[in-house]
Amino acid sequence: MSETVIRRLALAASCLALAILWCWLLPMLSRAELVRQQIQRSEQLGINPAAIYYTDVFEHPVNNTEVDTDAIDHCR
Amino acid sequence: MQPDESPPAERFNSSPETLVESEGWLSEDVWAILLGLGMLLAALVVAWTWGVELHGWLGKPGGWTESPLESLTEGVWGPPWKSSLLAWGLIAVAALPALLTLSTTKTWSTLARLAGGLVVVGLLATLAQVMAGQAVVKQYGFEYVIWALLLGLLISNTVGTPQWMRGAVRGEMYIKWGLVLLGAEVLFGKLLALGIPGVMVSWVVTPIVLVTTFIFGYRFLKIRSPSLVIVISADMSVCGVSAAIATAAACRAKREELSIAIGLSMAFTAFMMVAMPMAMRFGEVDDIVGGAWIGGTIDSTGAVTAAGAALGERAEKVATTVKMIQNILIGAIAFAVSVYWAARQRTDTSPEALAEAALVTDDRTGGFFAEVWRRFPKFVLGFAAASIITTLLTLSGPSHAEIVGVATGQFTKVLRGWLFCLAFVCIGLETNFRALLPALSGGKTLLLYVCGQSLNILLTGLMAMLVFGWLFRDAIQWWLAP
Repeated sequence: MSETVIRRLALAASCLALAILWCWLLPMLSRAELVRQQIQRSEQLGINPAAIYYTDVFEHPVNNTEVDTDAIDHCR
Repeated sequence: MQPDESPPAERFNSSPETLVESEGWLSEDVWAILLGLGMLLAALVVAWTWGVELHGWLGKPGGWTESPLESLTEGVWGPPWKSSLLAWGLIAVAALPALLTLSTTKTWSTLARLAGGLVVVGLLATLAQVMAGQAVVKQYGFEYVIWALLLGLLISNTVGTPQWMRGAVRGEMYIKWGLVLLGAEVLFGKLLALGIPGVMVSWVVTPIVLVTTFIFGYRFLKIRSPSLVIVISADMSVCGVSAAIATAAACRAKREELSIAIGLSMAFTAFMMVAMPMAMRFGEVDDIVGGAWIGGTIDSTGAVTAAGAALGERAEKVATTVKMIQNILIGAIAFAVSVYWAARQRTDTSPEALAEAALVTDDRTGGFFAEVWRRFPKFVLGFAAASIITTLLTLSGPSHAEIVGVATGQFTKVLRGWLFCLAFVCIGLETNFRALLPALSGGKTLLLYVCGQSLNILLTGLMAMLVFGWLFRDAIQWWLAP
């Protein structure tokens, strides 16, 4: 088997592994009671644990608006 | 200091092709500033004209639980595929002239190859965002950047990145462009409202931890690459992935060094997000002190929010507020690192540094400041300009603050996310797995992260107890009162 074929097979196998993980294993895990409760709680509170920067948590009652208003008042 | 022994060609903005091109005024940095500030100004004009009607125009694949298709078809503001396509399309249209200018050939076939490359990179970025949207993945804070990197690495290390799409694979340009847009989100005005307690935890402890960790890693652990040490230190002490990206671009770190830093950060963040609230409850730490402690130590903003919420409503508010101030530090850190690095390279007279210097510029005339300026990553000025524009607008009145909120929240933030995602796909496409191994430095990077984070936890805890538990306790309780 040529190296090109091996490399293509390696990519295909990796894609298959990712597809199984994301389309079957992770959805199954998200149905587990403990995980489901944690996800529900985050959704209810509007928390996105994967937010990178503070502006990524706008939906959350962390008061970005409140802080902006305070900052403006403070400057007056 | 010892020089970094890595070949200069592997560093940010220093591929041989880019180095030649950076002699001209339309370098990657200049394009990043033009595109970033141009998009910000366009966003402000659009927000001023249409206001809140902008909601949902631009977007990204949403969250999903059972089927990945949900992330492209189900959204509050309509199907996410439409808003994703518009966001990515805007970036592609804006990027094409820059990519063409930076290419060595400028023909119609080059343009076609660049457009094709952008389509492939865009599809991979979309897939990365879909992967990051899965409920379990999202819950444990594994952001899209890690999946973008993984997809790129998979292709480059199996079938290889096709030659025809390499012109569109410019991770550094997308990162710098994204960082200029991120500058618009750094509002210094927030510091004024949050006052001394948050600043003491964020702005006193963070620089101490950053500098100490850098010295520890470089001098005591003897990690050869100072750029790797500073990227890990900033990532761990400031705000995770965003700080790692900004610092890596500021000190021209290698792509694999940035990849290692964000990998470490995400693994520890997922652990600390669960472990810290549990430890606080076990130790019966006061919720206000606990919130400040969490806010000052956990890397990523989302994880801080989640961990704070696990302690309670007051802890969550304090944690996210402290993190918000620490996030603002990203601009100052990136600026300081870029100035220090430019000056350090100028004074480094080792053969390796001189060889690198000869690649950067063959004109060694001029004074110290002239050379520092030549080495200074110019995109940092775009970052600072964007931050100053939005901060001044926000402080000039509520109506202007609202325009800035819409422009950054609905427009630049979304585009910045796409740009970072594209950048990490490109970094993956340009990186060989074997190149990642030296960046691990035989486990020293892990040791550096653990030691640095331990110091961070210790100092932040002491400062949180002093400031939030004693000095300003009454004022904070008043602020937190419903």
